[in-house]
Amino acid sequence: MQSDVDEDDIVNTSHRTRTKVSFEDDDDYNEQDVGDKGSDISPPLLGEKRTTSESEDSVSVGQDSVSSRTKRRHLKGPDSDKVGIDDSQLPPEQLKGSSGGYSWEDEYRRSWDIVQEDESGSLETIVSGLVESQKKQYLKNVTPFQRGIIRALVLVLDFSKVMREKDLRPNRASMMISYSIDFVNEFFDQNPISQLSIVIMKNGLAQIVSEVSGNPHDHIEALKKLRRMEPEGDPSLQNALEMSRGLLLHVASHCTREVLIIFGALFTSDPGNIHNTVKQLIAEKISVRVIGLTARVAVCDELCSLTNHGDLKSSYNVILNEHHFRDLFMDAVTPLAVAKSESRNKHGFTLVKMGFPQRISEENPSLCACHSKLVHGGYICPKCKSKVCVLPTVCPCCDLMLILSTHLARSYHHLFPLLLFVEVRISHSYPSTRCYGCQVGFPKALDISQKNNTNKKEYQTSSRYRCTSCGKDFCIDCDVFIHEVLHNCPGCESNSRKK
Amino acid sequence: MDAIADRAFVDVQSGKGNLHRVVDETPSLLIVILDVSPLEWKKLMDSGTLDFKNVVSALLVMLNSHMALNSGNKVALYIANSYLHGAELVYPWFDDRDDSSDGSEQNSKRRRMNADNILKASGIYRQFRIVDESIVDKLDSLIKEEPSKLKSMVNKGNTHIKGTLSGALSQALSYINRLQKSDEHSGLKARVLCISVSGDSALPYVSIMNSIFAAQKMKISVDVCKLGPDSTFLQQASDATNGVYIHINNPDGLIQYLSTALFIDPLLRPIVVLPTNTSIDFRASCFITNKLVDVGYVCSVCLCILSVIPDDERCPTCHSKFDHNLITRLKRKPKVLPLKMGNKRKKRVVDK
Amino acid sequence: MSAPIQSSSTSSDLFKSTINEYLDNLPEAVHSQLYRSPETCLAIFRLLPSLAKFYIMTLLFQETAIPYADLNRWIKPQKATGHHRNANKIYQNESIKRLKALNLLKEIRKKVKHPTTGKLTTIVFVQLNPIFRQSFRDALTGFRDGIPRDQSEKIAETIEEAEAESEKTLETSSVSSSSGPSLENLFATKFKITVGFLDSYCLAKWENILHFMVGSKIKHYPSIGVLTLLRYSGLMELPSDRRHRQSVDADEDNFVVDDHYIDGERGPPSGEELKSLLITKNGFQFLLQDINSQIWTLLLQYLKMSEKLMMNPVDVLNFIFMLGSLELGEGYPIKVLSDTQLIMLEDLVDYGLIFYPKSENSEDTKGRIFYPTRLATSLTSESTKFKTASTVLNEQISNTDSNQGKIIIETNFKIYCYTTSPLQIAILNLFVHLKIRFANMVTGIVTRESVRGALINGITADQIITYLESHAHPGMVKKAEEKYAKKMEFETSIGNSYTADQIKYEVLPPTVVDQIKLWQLELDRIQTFKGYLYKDFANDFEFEKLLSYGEEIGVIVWRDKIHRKFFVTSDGNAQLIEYANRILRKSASRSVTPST
Repeated sequence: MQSDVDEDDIVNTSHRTRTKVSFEDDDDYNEQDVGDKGSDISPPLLGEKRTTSESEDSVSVGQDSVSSRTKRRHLKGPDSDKVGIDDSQLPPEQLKGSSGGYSWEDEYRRSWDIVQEDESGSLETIVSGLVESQKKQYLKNVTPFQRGIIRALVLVLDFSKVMREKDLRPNRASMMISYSIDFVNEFFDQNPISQLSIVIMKNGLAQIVSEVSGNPHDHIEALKKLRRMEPEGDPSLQNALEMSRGLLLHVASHCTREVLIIFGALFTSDPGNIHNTVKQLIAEKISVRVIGLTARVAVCDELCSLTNHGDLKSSYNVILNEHHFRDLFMDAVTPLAVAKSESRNKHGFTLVKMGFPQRISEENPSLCACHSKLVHGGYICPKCKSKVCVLPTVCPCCDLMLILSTHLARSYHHLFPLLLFVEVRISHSYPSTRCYGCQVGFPKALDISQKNNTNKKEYQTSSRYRCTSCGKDFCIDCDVFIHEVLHNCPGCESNSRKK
Repeated sequence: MDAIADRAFVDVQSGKGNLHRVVDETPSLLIVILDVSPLEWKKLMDSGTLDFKNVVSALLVMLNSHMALNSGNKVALYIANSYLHGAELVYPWFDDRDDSSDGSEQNSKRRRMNADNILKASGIYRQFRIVDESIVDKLDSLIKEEPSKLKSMVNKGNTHIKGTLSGALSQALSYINRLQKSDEHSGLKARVLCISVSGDSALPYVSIMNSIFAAQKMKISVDVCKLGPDSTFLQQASDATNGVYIHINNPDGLIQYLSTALFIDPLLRPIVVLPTNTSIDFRASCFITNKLVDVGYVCSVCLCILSVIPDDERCPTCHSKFDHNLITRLKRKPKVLPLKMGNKRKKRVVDK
Repeated sequence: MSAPIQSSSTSSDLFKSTINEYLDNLPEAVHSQLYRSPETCLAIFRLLPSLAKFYIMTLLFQETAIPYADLNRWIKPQKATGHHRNANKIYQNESIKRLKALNLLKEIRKKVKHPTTGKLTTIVFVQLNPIFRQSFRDALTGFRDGIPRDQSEKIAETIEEAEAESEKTLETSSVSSSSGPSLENLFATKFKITVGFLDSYCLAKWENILHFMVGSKIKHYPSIGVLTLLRYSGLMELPSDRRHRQSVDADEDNFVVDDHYIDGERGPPSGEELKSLLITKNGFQFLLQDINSQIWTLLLQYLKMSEKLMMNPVDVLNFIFMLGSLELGEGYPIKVLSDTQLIMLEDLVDYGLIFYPKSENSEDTKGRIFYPTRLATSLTSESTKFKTASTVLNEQISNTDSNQGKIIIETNFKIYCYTTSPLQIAILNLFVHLKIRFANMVTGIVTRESVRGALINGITADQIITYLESHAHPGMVKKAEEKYAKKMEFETSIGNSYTADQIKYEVLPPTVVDQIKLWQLELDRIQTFKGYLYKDFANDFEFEKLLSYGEEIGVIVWRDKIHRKFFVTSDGNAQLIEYANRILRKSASRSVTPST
């Protein structure tokens, strides 16, 4: 039922956001040709390309829903403990069309109808506006919540035979694995002092791919080995959850316990009652997130809403396309905000003992304690003086958490997020002519008194985004870059006066 | 017959030298961040080891050399730690920025004269000269303005100044990001060179670290040419980004350093041995005592590093209350007799 | 690690190898003369491999010679994996070889006393060519006072003067609007040379030549100088040449234009005669190159022709290299040029490399000013993406992000090309069956007939493929890079390093590439090789030994193990015979003379 909904949606929604050529498929080029030129399209070409424009739609829908998703998250505070209304029966927000009904009941809007020339016959302003509105979608919540920085996460991958499906190319399993590798990299990049374990569901069983560890290389190696295996049999959610429970059992209390499931199948073949397992998960404060590859499944609905205080929207999602899959995956990188109710229950916060080892370099290689490999140099545990080759890790000898101060510094931006820039309103003149970050020239102020059509106004922007604390203006590219990668405002940092 | 027919599908050039052809042709961008902290320079120049002019002229030769490598190569120069400007872009110079200050004929002429005097050159390759002149001119005006500014600041008693190296680095990275994203320069390689004279004390830790990680993520090497006191932050920066860190004691040979060890193009890095030292101090400093710690405690909320457990069992930075049970466990020493912990155990019972 | 490998044979390489070859073969005396000019040093420096550049930089500010071994110490040791040799080492050797060929690196052998044993050992030291070092240092640091003022410095000086002058004119034009128009003023206003003007000027010139070559109808024919050069370089030929050639020699690969016109045996063909030039196979190949290589191809031909005309190659080269270092949109006085260079100037005007406005007061020839165009200033640049004439124009007009590549080709052989340039359309038309033309795009299909037509015209499949690759839309390139990275990662992840090496970076759909190659093969049912047939071996041992050696050095064209025969290319024969003799000497009892 739900899956039908998704698919109809894919076909029929207006594609408002599509502006750039995406090279998903050779055929997209054609579509772009038509869309770009607007005025001089020859009829035969149009008819020919109809089919491809539909495939294009799926892309735009994905991005639409991403934006609505992120917006929703924006609204949600840390203490939204109330159990969400069971809205799975109602038309979900993102399926609503402009007329109030389902979006597929709306009139079909072609991408080239939106793009209209302005008075001077140029498409530039409107197109740049469209591009910016697309880029703007990174926006996330920047309230400095207390987040569970030290995490323990079990990544559960569906490796049953449904993963051989080729709806994601080359097939579901290999795409999942390559995204998982990206995820692991990103996860440890952003959460250097967290731990991860990987489990697969195969032949009705759960198998450990990599044990709980803080070393990204181990996981990536394990994932790469997984590539050579064929997905087989049925998945078992219960087995996977039980195994995750076991893996997370010994994790220290200061860690957040999470399970992330990539679920391709529409069923689960379990040995017992999965509801009992869910109850145990709740008792052990393990939160489960699921990314579905096909459609919503009732048991996952229940699982996620019960283990996430009813917050279904950020914990259970079904992918719309490859791009969306990746986005959902990467969302799990950001540490979860700690709910107030949770922190209230505790007696206080924990203090973790950690070692800061020294790096040494040697002329002759010696064995490392962690992998028993011959390596030149390494890090010496300050407590037991054994040598390890990669950080961060737990000393294999004395169980001390070994870390570099730089690793800690990596997590700081979660704790002190950079304030969002505000969009400068359209006006006759602006104080800045160039982006402070990259020195790209801003478009000149437009005469807004001109009579514009409605479509255009919607997308017209000043292209300037201002940091509220230093007052410098940035372009959209820098805005995105600064908030996603840099986490520093170049304007504020360049001012030598102390705040 | 088959053997002959197959020939059309044999890629004659496969394997050999493919990589190197790329090495030879891709243009690269060199961004130099020049630390102009007036007080530090004063110290260095007073001690007689270093002269700002010499450093700038060596730098100019280096920039020229970089542009000489490939006509697609670009340079950019930022200054950091200026009291007046903080961190600022010096080159490339965009027209609409300077229309307030100069622009009159006289001014530009004076600029040219100035530049000529300093460069002591009757002629130089044009493309180089445009860059050099604009840099020399900007630095010149900067040096002239700086003392008065400094004085006025000292008079106001406002002497505490934030280091702006992170600002310059942030701007540089944004600039690189834009160039690399644009179609025109896709595949452009970039690296950053910091010529630094100041120590770590004034640098804001979090933001400098953030920019280092951003550089690491973008795979941009940060090379450091360190004059004056050593800097752990910059050592870590070059280490994390596969850069070169060189501490120069004898600045006479500066140009030789700049044209060899600090002149390794990002594309050559897989081939050439980097001249780096391997002993880098990675130890963290305690937030309370400021001592270097080997084994410390980390607050799970704000990740601040503590060498001792505070008496009030609250984090000194974020004021979170720590879990008492846990603290007790951490404080417990192996050979302490259970008698001594009597009062504490009572508390634990209450908590449970 | 996953650095995308550029398309295997871009035409820029072609150019580079030809100019490098030319430079390498110059005698040392000419080199020394060349190195006196800083501009030339810079241009030659830019042509070197990166590592060679790096070596030059390390040696540039070194006063004393350094031991040769120090050069090796910069190179990262690489594990030799199986049959692959150390790629870094090969690259280093190539770099050093280039440096030596250009006489840039000098080896000095010194006897050094070993500090402890006291033995005398010879150590090889290296040093930069002192002339080059001086000039190149000057180029980087600004010219020093001490050195003899040579011509290039004069140029630099006069540039200054010219600048001062132009400043003056600017001043006067701004101030003296009331004081009546002076001559200078008039000049300044009438010929306000903008970059845009220069761009359109050079493009018009250059495209005109190309249009002439493609045979489109044009109003103004290129000058006789251009036509002669086109003919001389074998890009075009007179109908009479064609008949002549066909009668004399059926071997069309051997393309020699007899230069009796230049030698003066026969009177040069008249302008009218030259207008009937027909494009040759080489001409078609020429059209498919990018504009920069086209210019270089012509300039190299020009160099060769100038040698015959007894022009000083140093002057000619210096002038060409100097052009590359000039500023676009700036005027330069001609008085700094030598007589040879003045002759060249006129020729280069015809190619569109230089704009040379006719001055109103004809007697003041020395004060005249020439303007290098974009074609000239980008001569020594070698960015990976070359600009076709139309993209330079587009860039100029729209000033937006320039897309060098415009062509999209699909697996179903459909081609889409965003272009408005009639020239590019004409070139595409050489091998594409064009269907629809839109305002900013043409679409077409690559068919067997269209490709065959091109092949019969003498265009090779590789050239078509290279053209498509170098003009591919950035989207295609990006996609190819992603695909390459993905495959690479996959293969390396499962540890299959051999297949990882085999992965090709494919911008174009492999189906199309293979099909075009197949169409070419259709034409080449018979391939001829010159070489030697080895047969009648006395025993298996010798046969196997020789065959395996031949295969190792890659000279075996065909083999038949049953009848113990194989065929060796003519280049490889000598090597093989030498090897054969060696084993024969080893196993003296056997005697086999390879029969040809």
